[in-house]
Amino acid sequence: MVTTYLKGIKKNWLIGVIPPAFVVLFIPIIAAIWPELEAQADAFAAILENEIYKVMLGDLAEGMFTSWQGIIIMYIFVWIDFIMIFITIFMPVRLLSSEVDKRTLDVTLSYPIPRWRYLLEKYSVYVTYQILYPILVGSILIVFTEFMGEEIDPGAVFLALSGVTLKFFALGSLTFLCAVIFLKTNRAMAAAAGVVLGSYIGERIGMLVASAVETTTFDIKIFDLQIIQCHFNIGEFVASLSIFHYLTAGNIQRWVTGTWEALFNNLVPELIIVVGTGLAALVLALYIFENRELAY
Amino acid sequence: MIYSKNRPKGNPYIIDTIASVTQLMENSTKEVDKISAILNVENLTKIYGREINIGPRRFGRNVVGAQDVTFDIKKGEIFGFLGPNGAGKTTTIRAVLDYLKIQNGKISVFGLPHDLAALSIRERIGYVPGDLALYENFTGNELLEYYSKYRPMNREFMKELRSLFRVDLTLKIGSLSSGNRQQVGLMAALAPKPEFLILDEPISGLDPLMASNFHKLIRKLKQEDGVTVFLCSHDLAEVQAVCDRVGIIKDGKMILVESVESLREKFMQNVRVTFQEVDNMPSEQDFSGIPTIIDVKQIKKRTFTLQIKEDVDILLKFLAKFPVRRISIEDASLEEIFLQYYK
Repeated sequence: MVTTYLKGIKKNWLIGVIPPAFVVLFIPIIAAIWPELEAQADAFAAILENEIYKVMLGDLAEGMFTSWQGIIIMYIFVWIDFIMIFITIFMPVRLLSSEVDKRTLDVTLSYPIPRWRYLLEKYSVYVTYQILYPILVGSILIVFTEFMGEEIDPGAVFLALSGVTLKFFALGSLTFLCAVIFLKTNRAMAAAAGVVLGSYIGERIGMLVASAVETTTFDIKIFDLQIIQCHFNIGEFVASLSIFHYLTAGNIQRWVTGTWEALFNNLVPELIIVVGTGLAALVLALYIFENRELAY
Repeated sequence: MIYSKNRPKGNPYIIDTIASVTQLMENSTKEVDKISAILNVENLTKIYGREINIGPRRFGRNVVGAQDVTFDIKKGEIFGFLGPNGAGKTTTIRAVLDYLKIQNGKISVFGLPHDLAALSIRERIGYVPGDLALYENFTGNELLEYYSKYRPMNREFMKELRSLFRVDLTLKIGSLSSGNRQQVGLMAALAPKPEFLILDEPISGLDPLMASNFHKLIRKLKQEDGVTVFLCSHDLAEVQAVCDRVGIIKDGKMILVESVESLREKFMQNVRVTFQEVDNMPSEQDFSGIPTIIDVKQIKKRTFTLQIKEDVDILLKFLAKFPVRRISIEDASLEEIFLQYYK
C-alpha cells in the first residue's frame, strides 16, 4: 500500500518537475551560444581567476572552461546549487507542515497506518522527483552533445548528477527533520533555511578562508614516538561541515580524469558522509515522528 | 483469620471463605466491567508547557489540559462528553487517539493500551475531529476512495450513507460549504462501519434536518450493530436526544459522570410557588437561607421561581409554615443542569 506516496506524487508533480525541467532548458540555450563562448573562452577563464568568482562558483571555477563539457557543467551545476537551496528548504518541509497547518493530519492519522511509514511515503515523493535530475538533465545533455558533435564524459556527468541527487537527499532529510521537530510551517521553514543557507554560506566562506590562511601542520606524539602528522586549516574544517562541500561536480570531473584507485579513494568517503548524513537524519525524523506528540 | 467479639457467629472457616469469595467476586466484577468497557480512562493527566523554576524565578507556564480524568464507556453505549471551551474535551480525545503523550494515567480502548496497540485500535474506530479539515483538492468521492485504501469501506453501508447525506460527492471539497464538508467527514468516518466512533462536535454546520437524520443513524447503529459512540458536544439538545450517559468536564477535571435520566432526576428541579397572602409569605432572603436552593427569583407579587438541588423535602417543610396557593415542581432541562455546572 503506497497510498500516501501516490497521492503525494500526484499532488506535487508540478513543483517536482519544474526545477529539473528549468535546468534542462539551459542546455539548448548554452548550446546556442557555445560557438561565441568558445571564441572567448580564454578571456572568460581569466575572469574566473578572480577570488570572488571562485568563492561564488566554488570548485566549478577550477573547471575546464575551454571545453563544452567544462562550460556546460559549470552553468548547469551553478544553477542546480541555487535550485537545491530553494527546493531543499521548501519541498520536504511543506510535505509535512502543510498537513499540520491545514490540520488534515488529524483525520489521516486516525486510520491504521504507522506514522513512520506515512512519513517515509511522504519523503519518498521528494526523493522520487530528485531522481529526475540525473535522468532528465543527463539524457538531454548527452543528446545535445551528440547533436552538436562535441565530446562529453558520460561517466563524469552521471556521477556528478547522481552526486546532486544524493545531496538533495541529504539536505532534504535534514530539512525534513526540521519539519518533524517544529511541525508548523513558519518555524520549520526558518529552521530549514538556517540549516541549508548556513551550510551553503559556511562552505563558501570556509573555502575563502582556506585559501587565505595557512594550513597548520602538527604531529601527534606519544612518549616522543611520532604517530601521525596532521594538517589543519580552519577554513577547510568549516567547509567540511557542509553537505555542499561533498560530491561536487568540479571534484568529480577531476577524479574521473585520474586513476580508478584515486576515484575510489576520493568518492567513497564523500559518498559515505553524504548518504550517511541523509540516512541518519531520515531515520531520526521517522523515529521522532513515530514517538512525538502531535500538539499544535 | 480474624477472631473478634463482633465476628458473626458460625463456622469461622466458612465465614472467612464466604468473605474471600465475595471480595473476589467484587474484584472480578470490576475487572469484567473494565474489560467490557470499550474505552477506559483512568486518572488521565495531561499538562501542557514546561514550567521551570530557577530559584525564585519562574520560566514558562504549565497549563492543565486534563487532571485525573476517569470514566469508561461500555459497549453499545452513546456517551456524551460535555464541557465549556478549554475544559479538556479535545485534550482527552487526542490522548485517547495517542496524539498526545500523557503525564499520568492509563487509557485502554477495546481492552488494549491506547499507545502500544494504537494501530489495532485504529482498525476499529472512526474519528471526526472538532475542527474537521479534509484535502480540499479532492472530490468527495476521491476522498472516500483515498481513505478506503487505508481501511476498506463497507460498500453496502456506504449506499445507505449516500442516501442519507445529501452532498454532491463529485465536487471538490474546497468548493463545498462547511456543512457539506462536515457531511463528507462523517461519511469518511462511518464508511468502514467502525465499532467505536469518536465524534467531536459532529453536527456542527449541519442543518436541523440533517442533524436529526444523523442522530437517527447513530441510534440505529447502536441498536442494530452495537456501535459505541463517544460524542463530544456543546449541543445539549443533541446530548439529551441521543446519549445514554454524560460526562461533564471543567477546568481539566471530570466533575460528573451520570446517565442522562438520573442526572435530570437527581440534580435539579424547578419550583414555582404562589402564596395566598402578601403579608404572610417569605422573602427572597428567607429562601436564600435554605441550603438546597440554588437560585431564587420573585417573578410576581406573590410568586417565586426557585431552582433546587437534591430533595425537595427541606423546601416543603419550609413552605408548610406559609399559606401556599399553588406549587409546581418539574425536572430541570439538561441545559439548566449543564449551565449550573459551568458556573
